[in-house]
Amino acid sequence: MKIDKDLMKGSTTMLILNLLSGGDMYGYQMVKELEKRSDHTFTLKEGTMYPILHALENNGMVESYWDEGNSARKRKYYHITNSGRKLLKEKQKEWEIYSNTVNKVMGGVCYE
Amino acid sequence: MNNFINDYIEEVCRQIKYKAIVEDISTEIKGHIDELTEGFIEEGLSEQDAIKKAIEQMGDPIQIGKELNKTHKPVTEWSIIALIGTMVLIGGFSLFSIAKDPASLLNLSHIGRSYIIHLVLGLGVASACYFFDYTKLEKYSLKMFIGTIAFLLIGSGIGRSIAGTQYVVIGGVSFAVISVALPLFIISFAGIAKKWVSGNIKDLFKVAGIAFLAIFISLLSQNSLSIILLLAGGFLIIMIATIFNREFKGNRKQHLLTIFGGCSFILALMTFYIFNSPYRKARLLVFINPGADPQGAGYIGYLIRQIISGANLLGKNENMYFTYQGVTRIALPEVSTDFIFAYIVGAFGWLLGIVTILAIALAILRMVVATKKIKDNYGKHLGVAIIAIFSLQAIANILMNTGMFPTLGLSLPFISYGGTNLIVNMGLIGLFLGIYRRKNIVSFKKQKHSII
Repeated sequence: MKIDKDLMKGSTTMLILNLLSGGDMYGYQMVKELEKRSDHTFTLKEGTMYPILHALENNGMVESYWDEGNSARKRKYYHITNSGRKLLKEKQKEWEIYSNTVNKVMGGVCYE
Repeated sequence: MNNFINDYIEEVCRQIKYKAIVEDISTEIKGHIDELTEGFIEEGLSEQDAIKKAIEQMGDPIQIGKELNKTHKPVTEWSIIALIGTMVLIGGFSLFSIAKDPASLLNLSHIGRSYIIHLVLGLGVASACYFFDYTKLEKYSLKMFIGTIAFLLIGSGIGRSIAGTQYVVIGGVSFAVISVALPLFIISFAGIAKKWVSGNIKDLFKVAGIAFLAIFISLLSQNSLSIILLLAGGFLIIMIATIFNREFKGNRKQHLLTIFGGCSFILALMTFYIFNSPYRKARLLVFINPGADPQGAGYIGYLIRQIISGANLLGKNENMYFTYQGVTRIALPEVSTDFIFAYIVGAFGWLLGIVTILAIALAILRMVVATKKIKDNYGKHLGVAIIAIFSLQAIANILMNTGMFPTLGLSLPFISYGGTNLIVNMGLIGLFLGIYRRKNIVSFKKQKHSII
């Protein structure tokens, strides 16, 4: 099932930060990892990730560096900073409250 | 076939107004598309279909470009410009007040014309440096350093000496050789330190040797203690900043101890240098005991104390003048240059003096904050170097003007009258603002390290 784009927008930052909290990654790798972990439910337009990453870097939440890794291709890796980890925690808490509340409200409705 | 990819990337980049970042962004996005394409080819698609599908996956290039443009708008540090502007205004105002005063020996129209010429030249140099891509400087650091040594030697050979300072005349405008050499030394040293002060103690000795060579040659050709202090202080700040940089891989304690050991050695040499000349020895002894010899070597210090202690909160203090055989003169020499701060306090009162100090302190503070935000490591090094030149000059000059530092030939950046200094300082600030403008760029051409 595809998820509505607007629904994904709000949580992409949190998902990206969460991915990076497990180690440094480059853009393509993040998209693939996101698809894998969500059983291909999350398939975002991949280019839209870069404005988010660059804005995060501008605000000091992530840092970037170029590395060639094992392949000959230059890749830009992103690294989460301490303030990025703090932001992730806040976003997670916010998300928990939000999803719990939505479930509570929706739970009152009978779908059958 | 690659045309599709290039068209896509061009479309993204066309939205981005700040062109210096375009190369980085296109490399990043091209890498992504290439990997997507390879994946689809492995899945069995033809190259053409794979590229089409990859581009489809990326999303609307115009929207992506517009979003990126929002993040990468070049930024100008207006607060620093405003603070420097305040200093220039205070300096200009004081200079005209001195030149208008019949008790000074300056000629108003001559000084005014010279000041305007240098100010316009300074603004030109500042904007040239602002738009200059500083990353091009890094690889020429060592050549620039050696070139500066050559310039110093040649300049001292062919230059004209006025009151102990060497000047070279280019197109009717004379430049003080050392005023040009000092920032060139410091700027190129930032690149040298970044390259060689990276963790190996042997390399530290090489860098220190280079620094010492520059100091030694400046000493030989200029014979000025203040320049030596500025150079040594600048080199020291840059080396220490490099040791605390995140790219430094060696033993920090060992490096710091080595540097402080070296400094003690140089200090011992300097003591020898001072005591070798009766004139310098007298000035040092007066510094240690300020009250001594008010008619001889302590005369200037005595005049400064007269002005500072008698100054009002607002308005002129008549202690500034002395009258001899019916002619009134400003007692303190060099009020338009080295001792302009004492003049400001004496002629306009403490309030303007405090405003001046506040503007300088805030400018240093804003520059430190700005340097922290620069992502490129060479940019950070240059930022530190420029802060070092500015703050060392300013702090030493203010201390000298308030009787807390020996009287040396030091001018107050942007405030003291001195053509070459104004132009050079304007250029340095232009360079600094230009680095800050590009603060978000980490160029892949040089970066190849991992963050710890």
